[in-house]
Amino acid sequence: MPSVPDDPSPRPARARVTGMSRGERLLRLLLLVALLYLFLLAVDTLGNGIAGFGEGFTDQLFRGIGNPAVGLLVGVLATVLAQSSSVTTATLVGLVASGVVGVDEAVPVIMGANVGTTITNTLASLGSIRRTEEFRRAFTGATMHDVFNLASIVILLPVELLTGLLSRTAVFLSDFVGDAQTGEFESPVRAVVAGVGEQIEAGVNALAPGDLVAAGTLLVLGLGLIFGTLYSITRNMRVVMAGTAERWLNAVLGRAGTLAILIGIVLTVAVQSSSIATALLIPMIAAGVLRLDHAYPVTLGANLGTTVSALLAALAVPGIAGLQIALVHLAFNVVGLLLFWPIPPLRRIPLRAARWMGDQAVKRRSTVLAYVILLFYVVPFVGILVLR
Amino acid sequence: MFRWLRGSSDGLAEVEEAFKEMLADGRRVFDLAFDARLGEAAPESIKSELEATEERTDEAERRIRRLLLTHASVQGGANISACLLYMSVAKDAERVADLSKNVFGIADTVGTQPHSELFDELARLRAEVSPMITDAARIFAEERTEEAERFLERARGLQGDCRRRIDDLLLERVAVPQPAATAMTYRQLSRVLANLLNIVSAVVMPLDQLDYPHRAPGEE
Repeated sequence: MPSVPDDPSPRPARARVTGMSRGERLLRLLLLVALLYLFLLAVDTLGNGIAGFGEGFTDQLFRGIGNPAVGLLVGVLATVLAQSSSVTTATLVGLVASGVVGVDEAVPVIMGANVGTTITNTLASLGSIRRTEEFRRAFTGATMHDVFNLASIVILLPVELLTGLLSRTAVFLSDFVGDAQTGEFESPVRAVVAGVGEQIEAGVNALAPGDLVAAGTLLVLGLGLIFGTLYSITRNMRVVMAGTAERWLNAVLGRAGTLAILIGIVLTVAVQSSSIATALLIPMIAAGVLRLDHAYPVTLGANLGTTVSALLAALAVPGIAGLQIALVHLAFNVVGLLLFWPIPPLRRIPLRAARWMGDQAVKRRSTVLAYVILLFYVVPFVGILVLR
Repeated sequence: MFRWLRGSSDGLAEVEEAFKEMLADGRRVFDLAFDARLGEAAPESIKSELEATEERTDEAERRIRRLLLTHASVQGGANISACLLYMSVAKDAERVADLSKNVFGIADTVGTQPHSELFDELARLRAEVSPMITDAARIFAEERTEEAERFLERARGLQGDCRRRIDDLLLERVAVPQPAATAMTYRQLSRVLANLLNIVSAVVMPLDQLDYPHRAPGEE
């Protein structure tokens, strides 16, 4: 009997797995730079498009967002539909910079984006729905992020509405790099983007039959580019960062704490997506390899890391308002972390709530679908319709 | 400078390292166990080292599983066949240490292999199989197909020797003291070889044929 098949076509099991070549890595890094530039250009183009509509039209379009509940639900729904909080926050920076939406009005939208982004985790956990214990762990891991964000909102939205804590902090911080009184902010990046942005605007204006069509074209172009570039950055960086992400996540196994928060931040900044960064954890939690309390700080770090998208977008827009709302996003997540991380009894609240939800999900699996549909789709959609 | 951006197979490199260490520990357990069985060391003098080394292989197997899970979570399905392969061979490496520990268990229970013609044969087999554990690790790591072929042939030959001797003992064709313990020693040795065969067969056989290295694809 032959020890090895005569037909050489079957691939031996032990076939070496080759990593990325240095050339490919360099190309991908260059691609990242190009995509980042396009992303900044997209935010600028979006702002130009919105400005082109004129005040009356945009006031009508964003009517109702002044209601914090509507703003919150808009943030949730927009992020669920875009499957990316970065898209929502970057777009919001453009809207705030163009003056269509005020910083105060945008704060609840930013908070809603934090909730909307957790749907990716929840959907990832559904992959284990047929295996009871695995699903319990996966769903608990996924909802831990939901619970943390919802708890932060429950505390910080009323505080913000009553005291303006977050927006005032953002204004205070923005004063270090610009002038919060006059609204002036000299972004070093804007100079590189604005010229090309003006040329695009001039080109579209020249080709479009009317001002509204030109504005609409710029708006769609801006939105499309924001979505496309962020999607491409995430995909590209996920490939580039895979080996590194693996090492970092292995470092988190069996350990929790500040290191895990830092890993969550850096991983999310690198892939420009907290959804992707946290969704990587779900299979590991589901398998029982990564403990919930070890995954929790990574999630908190991811929440902080995702604020970089809005901060980047703020560099591309004129004035200081865009930067202020980006800083609100940062402040919201920093305060949330300070609320639910350093003090152990408070830290345990999201974990316990998530465990309870995991238990309920296993007992009544049909409610899981209801939870996803209600929290992420029905409540935001109906709420906006009713409250607007 | 770009160390943080190293290639995507890094997680598997760590698995490979752990696997290599597992087999090195497996050989150490094998040697210690046969030292005890062949009267070269008193069981109580090596027991703690043997158990600690064997436990290390158990932990290494668990570590490999964790590393593979992280790898699969991050890389998706890209390297799924590699993950399945390592799951399989890590189990084989763990078994090498585990089966060797059984040989120690025999020595601990019934004592040294009595001097007879089989004592010399066992000593010869031990001397042949021990370096084969390291060879298996090297052939696997370096993907040496020709060496793998030779290794498989040799290991099968040694397995055949063990099987024949087990038959002799079961059918009482040879008369030695401790016949059951001797048959069990041969049996453990044969199983160690079987696990080494599985590991090395991965160099030349497709994934679905692992653990069945005597069959060509499509053969029933």
